[in-house]
Amino acid sequence: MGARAVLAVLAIALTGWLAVHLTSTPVAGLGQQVDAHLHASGVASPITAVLLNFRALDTLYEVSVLAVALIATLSLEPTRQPRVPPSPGPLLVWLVPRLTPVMLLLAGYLWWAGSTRPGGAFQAGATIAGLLLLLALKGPDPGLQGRGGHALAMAGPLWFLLVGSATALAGSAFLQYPDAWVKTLILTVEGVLTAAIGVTLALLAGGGRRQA
Amino acid sequence: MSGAEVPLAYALVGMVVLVRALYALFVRPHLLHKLVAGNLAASGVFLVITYAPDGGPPDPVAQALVLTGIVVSVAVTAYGAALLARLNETSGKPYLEHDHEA
Repeated sequence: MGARAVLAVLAIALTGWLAVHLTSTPVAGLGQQVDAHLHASGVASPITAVLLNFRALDTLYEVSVLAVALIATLSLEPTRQPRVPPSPGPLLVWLVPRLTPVMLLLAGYLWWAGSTRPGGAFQAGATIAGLLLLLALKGPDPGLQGRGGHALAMAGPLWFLLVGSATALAGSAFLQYPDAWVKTLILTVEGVLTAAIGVTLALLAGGGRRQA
Repeated sequence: MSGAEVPLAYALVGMVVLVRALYALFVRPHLLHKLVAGNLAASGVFLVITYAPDGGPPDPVAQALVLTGIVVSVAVTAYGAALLARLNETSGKPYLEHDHEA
């Protein structure tokens, strides 16, 4: 129990130290620089501008992390206990078909809204993932565990890379969109990412297991 | 972007969550506890990062950073859970060997 007591004291000391620094350290954020260059980003939402334009490379890495996590999870082959087939209650049977169009609409809205206000590929992708999980719970399974689903999951980073390479070949830097194409490119990248992130998250939530 | 300011209380709560979760991460031997604790610690960090000391709306770069962090922590959690399930299937217990003996 001695070690735990020491840890607890350390934890309390750390909290105090962090609190002092948090309240006393002045922070110079990048908000003003983002606002100053927002007009050049092709979108009106500063967060989307950072994610898909100013720091698009970080977002490419981020979707790559998702893809690597999926590949790693699938490679564990946790196939000894197949997933239990769904036995949906009356609520799921009634609710899921009615919820499906609403969730698709919501995902579409979040994707489109990302250019002007909070929203974007990750929020829309999470909605798609929720829908796919609901469909899997109700049954029949949407059947994304096969090659089609895996290809869809990998389409996000691949399309992002393709757009980046195209801009590089066209004369700008990697992922530096030409002015006339900014909004179109951001929206198509976000659209493909929405589908890919949705499928990836749903597959990750399933633990890579096949339907029994 | 939300125009609401982020009060200091959020950042302080985030800090308490972070430290409490770190404590659980070290103390609890069950790997599912560790996984949840790691997630909670990350959530605490996110609350701290989006805190805007000047009382204005949170920095857009910080928000983008947190959004990225959430996605990465989801990926890490999913892979950790898959590893944990595999370990449990293979060894029959959800602990690391030396943690279980301690």
